[in-house]
Amino acid sequence: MSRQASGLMAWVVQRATSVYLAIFLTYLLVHFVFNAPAGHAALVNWVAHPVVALSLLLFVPVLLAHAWVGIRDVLIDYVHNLGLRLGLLTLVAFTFIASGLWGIKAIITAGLWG
Amino acid sequence: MALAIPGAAILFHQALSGPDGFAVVAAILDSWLARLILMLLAWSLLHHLFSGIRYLLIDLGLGLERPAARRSAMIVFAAAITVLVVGGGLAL
Repeated sequence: MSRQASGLMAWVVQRATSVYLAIFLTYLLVHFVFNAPAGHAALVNWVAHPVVALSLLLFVPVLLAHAWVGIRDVLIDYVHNLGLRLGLLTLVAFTFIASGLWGIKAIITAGLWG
Repeated sequence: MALAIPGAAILFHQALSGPDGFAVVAAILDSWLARLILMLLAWSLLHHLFSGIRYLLIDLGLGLERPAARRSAMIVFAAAITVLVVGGGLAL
């Protein structure tokens, strides 16, 4: 993808990820409102189920890509001081990467329990 | 919602760490402050979801005219509140 088309790429990423997020987050909301795991064992059983585990593992980078494009656009549009913008973008990027790795570690570890 | 990402990752990891960790997270989420934050997050998410679907339809060329766009914006706002109230009511 050339530099000139990076905005188009972000647009495509935002829409492609949104479809997965719309479906999976609807499932997550319904599951946790009507059928929330009652204890640790139930939560582990749910996370360790192959379909759930794989969906969650896919959910992490898809959510972070979607959130990154959104936050990046907001910071580029509204933070005009370049130093501050770069600092905030770096902070968000590192926080997102750490959150993603922590979430993935939890999913994989839960799989080892069951 | 972006600000909730690190907190959600920490709570998710904590809840899966063991029965004690799960109890801690359950107690945190049971507090009135957490319930308020979860309600606000749920509203944000529902509004974002419905307005996102609206943007996808507009990208497909549906509802581009001003009256239709105004009407769909109102539908998004009302749908998010309705699902929040109904879902919240069923959850409690």
